[in-house]
Amino acid sequence: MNQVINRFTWKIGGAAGDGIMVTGAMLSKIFTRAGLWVTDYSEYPSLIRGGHNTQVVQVDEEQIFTHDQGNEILVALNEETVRLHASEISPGGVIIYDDARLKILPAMIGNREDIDLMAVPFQKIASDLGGKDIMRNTVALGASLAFLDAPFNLIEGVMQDTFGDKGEKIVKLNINIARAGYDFVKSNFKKTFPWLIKPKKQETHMVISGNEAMALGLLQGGLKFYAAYPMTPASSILITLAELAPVYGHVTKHAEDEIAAVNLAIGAAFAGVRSATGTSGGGFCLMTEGLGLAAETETPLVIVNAQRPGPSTGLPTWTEQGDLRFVMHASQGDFPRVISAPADPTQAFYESVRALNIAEKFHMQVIMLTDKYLAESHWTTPEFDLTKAKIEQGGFLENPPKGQVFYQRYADSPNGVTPRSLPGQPGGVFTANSDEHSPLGYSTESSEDRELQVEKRAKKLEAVKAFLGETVVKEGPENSDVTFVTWGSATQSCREALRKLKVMGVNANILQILYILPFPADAVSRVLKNSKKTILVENNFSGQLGGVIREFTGLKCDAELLKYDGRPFWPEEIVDFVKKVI
Amino acid sequence: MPKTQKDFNDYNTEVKPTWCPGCGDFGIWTALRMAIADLGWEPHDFLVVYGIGCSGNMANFVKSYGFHGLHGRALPVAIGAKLANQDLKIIVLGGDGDGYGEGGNHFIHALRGNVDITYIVHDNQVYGLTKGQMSPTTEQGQPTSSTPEGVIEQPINPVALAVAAGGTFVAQGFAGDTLQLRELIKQAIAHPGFAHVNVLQPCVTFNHHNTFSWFMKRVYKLEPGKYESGNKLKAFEKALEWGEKIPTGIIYQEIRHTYEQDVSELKKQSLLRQALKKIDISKTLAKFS
Ligand SMILES: Cc1ncc(C[n+]2csc(CCOP(=O)(O)OP(=O)(O)O)c2C)c(N)n1
Ligand code: SF4
Ligand SMILES: [Mg+2]
Repeated sequence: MNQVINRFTWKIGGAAGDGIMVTGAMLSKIFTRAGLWVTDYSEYPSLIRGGHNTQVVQVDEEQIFTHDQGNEILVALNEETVRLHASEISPGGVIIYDDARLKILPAMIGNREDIDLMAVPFQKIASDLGGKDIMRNTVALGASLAFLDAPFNLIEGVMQDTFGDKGEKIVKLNINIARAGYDFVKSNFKKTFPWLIKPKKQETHMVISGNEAMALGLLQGGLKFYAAYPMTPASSILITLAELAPVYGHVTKHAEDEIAAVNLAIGAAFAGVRSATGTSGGGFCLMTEGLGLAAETETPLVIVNAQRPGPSTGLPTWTEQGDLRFVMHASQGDFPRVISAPADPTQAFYESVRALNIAEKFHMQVIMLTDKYLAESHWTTPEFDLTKAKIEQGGFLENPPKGQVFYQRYADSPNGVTPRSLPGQPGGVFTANSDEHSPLGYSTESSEDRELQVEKRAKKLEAVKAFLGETVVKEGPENSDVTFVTWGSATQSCREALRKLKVMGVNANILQILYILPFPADAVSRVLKNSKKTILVENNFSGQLGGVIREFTGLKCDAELLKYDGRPFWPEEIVDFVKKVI
Repeated sequence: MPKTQKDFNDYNTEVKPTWCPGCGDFGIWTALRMAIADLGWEPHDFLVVYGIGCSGNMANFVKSYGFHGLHGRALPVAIGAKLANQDLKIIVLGGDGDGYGEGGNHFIHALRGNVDITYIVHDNQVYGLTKGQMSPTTEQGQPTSSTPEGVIEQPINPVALAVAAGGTFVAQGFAGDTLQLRELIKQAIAHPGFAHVNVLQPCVTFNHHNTFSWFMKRVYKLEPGKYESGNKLKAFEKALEWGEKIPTGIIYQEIRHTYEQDVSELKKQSLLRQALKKIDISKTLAKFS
């Protein structure tokens, strides 16, 4: 068998509580530091113990966007892993398992003879060296690296970073246990394993999830207040920000519910600080009245909606892009909002900064629409350039005339943005009013006032559009045979499909709609009219973006690939679909 | 010391109150403006956050920074504003439906949290603005437009609830006694923490049971010296008094750390005073490499 260098997929499966995610995260870091590109993805049920959890780490020499379904190394911590995933293993691949805990019968692996079974006494190795049960994972990690013939020293630094705050003893213990797993495979596996790691020199890269990137982007963008109520898959934004509060001095508030969260964020923004809230669809439902309140009072606000499959509680720990129409129209009334839909950690980072800038400068509400796949998966990512993450302030009342008490904060202005005063500021007194209001903010029912305020709010979207510039992202060669039209994390799967199609000699490109509102109608029209074959790729049942495109451009994509089983698109699925339609 | 001598009419706006003639809201409005005049605040010095209801309509009649929020959601807006700018003086006004019904969850958690704001509830035992439906404090058996055969549920006792949920300043006033209410509001403002003042407020249009004269016959003042407001069990006893005799005054008070005092990030200065110029997250980014 030919040797494959620096390209393979590793998968681990076990019960919740087995600690497999930590192991996957360490491997992602190890391979990234080895100069390779990684993406990891986890599947887990909404449980704390038991159930079936998996984590995939896929490695490549080039930038990788979405993992394949197949894998070459399967670490099985329980029988279910073997039964469910043995069929995905490439010929020549291996299952690593502990035969003290698990007996693999031929029927469990579909009688396959083209894969190896490698029994490694995970538990015995760990306990002989004085480790706890959970350190079985560490043995598996060492064993996996031995199969890949990776230099062992790759492990040491990552162990230091992962366990450093638990003390030198724990770090040493983990290194010794990994070493024992590594040595066990080296002396017991006599064949050559077809997949190999050869570390490369590469500039420093990070491994980061969408939520982490977003939390950091918000911070670099001047976020001072974040209120939220935990909900998968948005919770890790709150957790990350809460952990960093002592470092950067912002405040996080775990609110009593999402209604409180959004209103807390509005209150803080009204008082003058950059603030945000985050949730998933269910929590966003509770925030919708608050969204309208921010719009009516023209209070800057950023809301993250990390989607998961609905309706209702749906599939709490899985992924979908089913909330597009919902967030576009959420809350009563007819008013504008901005919706940004980053595809990857890099966009999540820079767009978070931009969201805070837009909210503040234009007194707007910006919804950042992500999903579980982007929020919780990790990618090897080039370091962020902080000089490109600039805070742009604006929209504040400066130097009101001496002696002035009242200020017409809702007076008309050419672009709809009337500078806002902050409570406590002399010369700026007004009332922010959820009722329709006069320029001073007092309740009014006159038709003139009503029309003026509706139009004032609407105008701001045009101003935002001018500020944003191009809000579609095009990738791949012009004049391709196929154009994927997509948004959010589905873009990652399309990018991966592009790499695969290129190898097959098929030219494809991507139109990613980064901002859903204001909708980039001209840019989208141009691409749709000038493409040979457009394929809409969306992670939902009804093709919501497709409908939006029709609404704004009158145009329809030539074909639709939709998926709504809670999983992201596997690149193979997109490739197969392309084969069918061209 | 007040900068200039203020009169309560200095806090009027261009809008004349739209309440029904004789409504208890007038008394609360007057007491509030008097209290603020006594304190000598400038209109830009303070923020009043309002809920939705007849009570919330006061947003148009008080000369100050105002935020007229959603029905039931005034408290979280006020708490968010306080956490952003702890130097700001914040008063929250709402109704019984607004604060004990729609926003009941926020009320309970605000009591636990003890953020330093003042919360005045216009408790008229009815939904005024929506024309006379049952509220959480309507007496059992009383017919209302939404409960024509009489209210089935027991009423909430907001004062007892506030004591139970960890309130650090729990008071009850009467809209018919503006002078007492003015003092209660000042004491509430002076209290370091979440100060709750439940104001018995006749609704002359929709509540023909709890009228001015009904209250007048029942309310009595807790005398400082005779009643000690620092004892929680005694406070419960007082709080539960309802019927022939209804206590007014400070029912319970204790000094506890405010929420913002215990947020380490707020020790040095308010969030609003933090500069945005020098933010640099590169140290944290390095941990991801
Ligand atoms: C979400 C929502 N539900 C219902 C209403 C309608 N509404 C407005 S005020 C009100 C009740 C007001 O009663 P209360 O809070 O006791 O105030 P009051 O008018 O008695 O001062 C209701 C139900 C609303 N504005 N918003
Ligand atoms: S309806 Fe009742 S509470 Fe409302 S203004 Fe009239 S009297 Fe006052
Ligand atoms: Mg009422």
